[in-house]
Amino acid sequence: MADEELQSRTPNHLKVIAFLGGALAWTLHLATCYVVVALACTTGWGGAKVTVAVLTVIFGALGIAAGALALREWRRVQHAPSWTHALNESGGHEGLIYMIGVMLAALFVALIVLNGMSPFLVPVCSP
Amino acid sequence: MGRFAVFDPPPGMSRAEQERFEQTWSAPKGLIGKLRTINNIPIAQRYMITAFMFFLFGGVMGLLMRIQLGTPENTFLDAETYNQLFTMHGTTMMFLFVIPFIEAIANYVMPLLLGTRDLPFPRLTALSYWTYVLGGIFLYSSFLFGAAPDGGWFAYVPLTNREYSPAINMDWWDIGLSVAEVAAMGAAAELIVAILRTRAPGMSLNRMPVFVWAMLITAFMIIFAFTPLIVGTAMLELDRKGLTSWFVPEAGGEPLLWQHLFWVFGHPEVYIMFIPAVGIVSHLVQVFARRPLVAYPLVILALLATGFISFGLWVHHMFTTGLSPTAMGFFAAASTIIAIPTGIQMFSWIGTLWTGRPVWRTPLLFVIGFLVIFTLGGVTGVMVGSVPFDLQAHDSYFIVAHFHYVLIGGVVFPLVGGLYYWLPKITGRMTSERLGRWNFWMMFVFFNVAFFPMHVSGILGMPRRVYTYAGGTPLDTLNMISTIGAVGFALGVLLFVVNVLWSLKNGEEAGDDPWQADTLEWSQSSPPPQAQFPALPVVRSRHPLWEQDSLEPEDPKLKRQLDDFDWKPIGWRGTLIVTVQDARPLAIAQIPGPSIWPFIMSIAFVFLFAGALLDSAALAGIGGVATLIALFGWFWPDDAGRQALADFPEHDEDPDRLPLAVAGPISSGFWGTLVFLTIMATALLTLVASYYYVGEGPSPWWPAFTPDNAWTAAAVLLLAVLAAGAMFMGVRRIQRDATPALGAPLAVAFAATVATVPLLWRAWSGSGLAAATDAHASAVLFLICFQILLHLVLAAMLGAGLAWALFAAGDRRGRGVAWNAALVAWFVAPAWLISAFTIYLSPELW
Repeated sequence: MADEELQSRTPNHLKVIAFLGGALAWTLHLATCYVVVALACTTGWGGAKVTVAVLTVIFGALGIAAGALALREWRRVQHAPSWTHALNESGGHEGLIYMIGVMLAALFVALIVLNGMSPFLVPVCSP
Repeated sequence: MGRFAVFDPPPGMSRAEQERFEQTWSAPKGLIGKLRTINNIPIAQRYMITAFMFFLFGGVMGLLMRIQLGTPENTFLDAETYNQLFTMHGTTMMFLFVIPFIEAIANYVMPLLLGTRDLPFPRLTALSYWTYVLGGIFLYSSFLFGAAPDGGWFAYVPLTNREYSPAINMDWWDIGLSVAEVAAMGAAAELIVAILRTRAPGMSLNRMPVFVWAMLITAFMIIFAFTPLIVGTAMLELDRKGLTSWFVPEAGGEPLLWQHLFWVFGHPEVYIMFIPAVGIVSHLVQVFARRPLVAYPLVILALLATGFISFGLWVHHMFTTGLSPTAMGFFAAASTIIAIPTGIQMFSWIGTLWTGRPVWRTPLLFVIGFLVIFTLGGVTGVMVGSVPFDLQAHDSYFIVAHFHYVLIGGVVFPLVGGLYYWLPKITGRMTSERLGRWNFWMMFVFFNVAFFPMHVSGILGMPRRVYTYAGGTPLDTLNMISTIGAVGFALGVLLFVVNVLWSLKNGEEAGDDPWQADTLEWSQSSPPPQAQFPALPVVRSRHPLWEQDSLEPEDPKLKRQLDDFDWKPIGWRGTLIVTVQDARPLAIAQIPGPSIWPFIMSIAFVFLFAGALLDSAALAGIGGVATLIALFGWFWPDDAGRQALADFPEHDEDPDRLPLAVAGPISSGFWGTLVFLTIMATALLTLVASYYYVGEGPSPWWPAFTPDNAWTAAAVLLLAVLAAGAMFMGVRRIQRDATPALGAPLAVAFAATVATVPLLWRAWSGSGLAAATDAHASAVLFLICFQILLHLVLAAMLGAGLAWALFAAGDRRGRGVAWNAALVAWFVAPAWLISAFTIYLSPELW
């Protein structure tokens, strides 16, 4: 377990983005869309659909970017014969973080898209 | 001692030295000694027993309700008693049983699983326990006065506000619950720091057992979910006392705000209980399938995804409150998608069992029971996540059936399985397999007899929370079957108690590793020694006991670093601090020894709560003074700390020797402060969101941006920035200088912080607002009081730091206090910027 073997080249803040960026993008998307819809329904403002669509594109893109970053880093650290083997090795924590980051991003981007469809499938406000 | 040679005393160590080492970690004896005990093992044992007692109390209440509902128009219980029972049944199970019990198990096994000697803040462990048990007694004492809470475990307003619940019942609930929440958050903070910083060398993130991952995620969820509820219960209690009007519609308040605050806690709460349970299931499945868990990374992914998505589900409890259809669509989508991570875990468990060589012992039976029951509960969960179905099933017995399938199947079955698994480690004795099987089948069969018919009674239209119903319908038979099932289930639980008691006396000796398991706790004797790991194990695999012949270090540098932990230190409790990601040794930390102060502080809390309940300034005053005394005693420097400093001088000649963690990012206190600030940030976010939420009411916006209050707000901001800047200078000195002079920066920061408190109070008192009749004024009051609280905490920390600088300038412990105060100072200024913007500027921009 030599030190040099475990030293990472990726800064910690990028690791966090790669790991949890997709989930954080969904969290912010849900919060902002909920506020937009609530405001639209209390004030009678008519721009909720377009705003939710724009927010979906923005946060979806952020989620995809986080996933892409995770994928790039995952490929970079992937040098063992198989991923299951690599994840049990010294230094395998990075592979685990990036691999989970890729899949979390995919799941949460799907959820962002589903949320973005909501105003186009049901009325924005109760009649 | 354990079966690995690494734990044997080093050659040449005398018996006397061994005894001194063991004495260092031993829990004190006698009555006072028991009150002073802070070791995680005895505290966790008490936690488990107390929580299990509450489980039995809650179960008896459930049985009484089932007896009442067994026949139509029954008079066994009257309506008021029934209301009290269903309120206390839910409150007990959610707040006094499941969460504390999970935390108790985690408190016990976590250091053993991590390969460390204790939790990093053992006095906080003891405080959490005493606060929890006294808070629980406080809540239950309401029965003695015939005033048990009766507004439901959800305490919906306006039913629970002063107008409709004028008696003291819901005050017991509000105050008692806050106590249990604070205890849970203390334990969560403890677990976060323990898992991130005190793992065995080599236990990098990819080698952490699934249960450890599950508890890490759960602990973060507790921090984020419990904080809004604590804020909400404070709002409700002050509303009930007539001091504020958050939920009073005539004053511009919003009853629905309570539902948001409650369910933004309440739904994650379900997963706060569920995630540790599935962590236990993953643990048991791989041990009893005799092979590593299939798709470990995907299981971690599933736990993380569940943790996140669980915060996006709360509105599905509010589908019938008239919210926007689009908003409901957001939450219906999340409610459906969350089945995916759960499904991933299901396939992982099935795959592991399918490809393994299952050993069908009692713990595995409970896992199988979990798989069957929870799958049914999960399917009905997806059903009620759909808005049209929920509109039909809401508040019917279908929901009661659903959540009992989730909570008993998804949580209680794994917990009982986990207990059967870890009890031999805890007691040193095996439980009876025969009784265990009877216990499982009784619980499994009668659970379904009790709760499956409720799906049908719900679909047939039986509402929940009613104390009786008219006869002559199919509900008669269904209810009678449910009652018979409940009695049978209770007998099943009783068998568990019998089995445990039997095993204590007659059980076969367990030995170190009766299950041939893979994780570190089984490397130790059963029960484990008080020091848990006299020498620290080194991990080179996710399954160290299956894949490692030795737990000794192979790398010479690591071996030299760990020499200081080989039956050492003696005379003070030392534990290893490692890096977060790859668990490389960083430092040695001194953790406190036995102390009476956690117990005294919890007693002081009881006085504070009683004062709040009875509107007694005298009781609250006694509690406040006692809390201050306890805090003083808590932080007073001890001899063990001095000895640690002497054993680990600042400039050691040996380059491989680890430093003593006293200040900055390598110290546990630094990380504990970060967790505290996370809680404070969540509270601030909750208050700001609530401020805007009540803005939708008829009350006028705060007409605030006058020169006077603008100057006040600006002065507070300038002083807060000054304090933050001074502490920045202080930290720079700590980082650069061998003997940093901290007196000046601490004095400036302290003076600036103290000066802000009267200014902040003036911002409120000079506003002319009346919180009792104006919801918006209530929001302003809360934001300002929250800021005052932050400044008082900061002033106390800075004052302590200043005292170190003045009276013991060379002592490194003072630097730790200064570092932690700096973190708080850097939070306080932006917090006021956000609050001041919310209060003074945002109404102008609206």
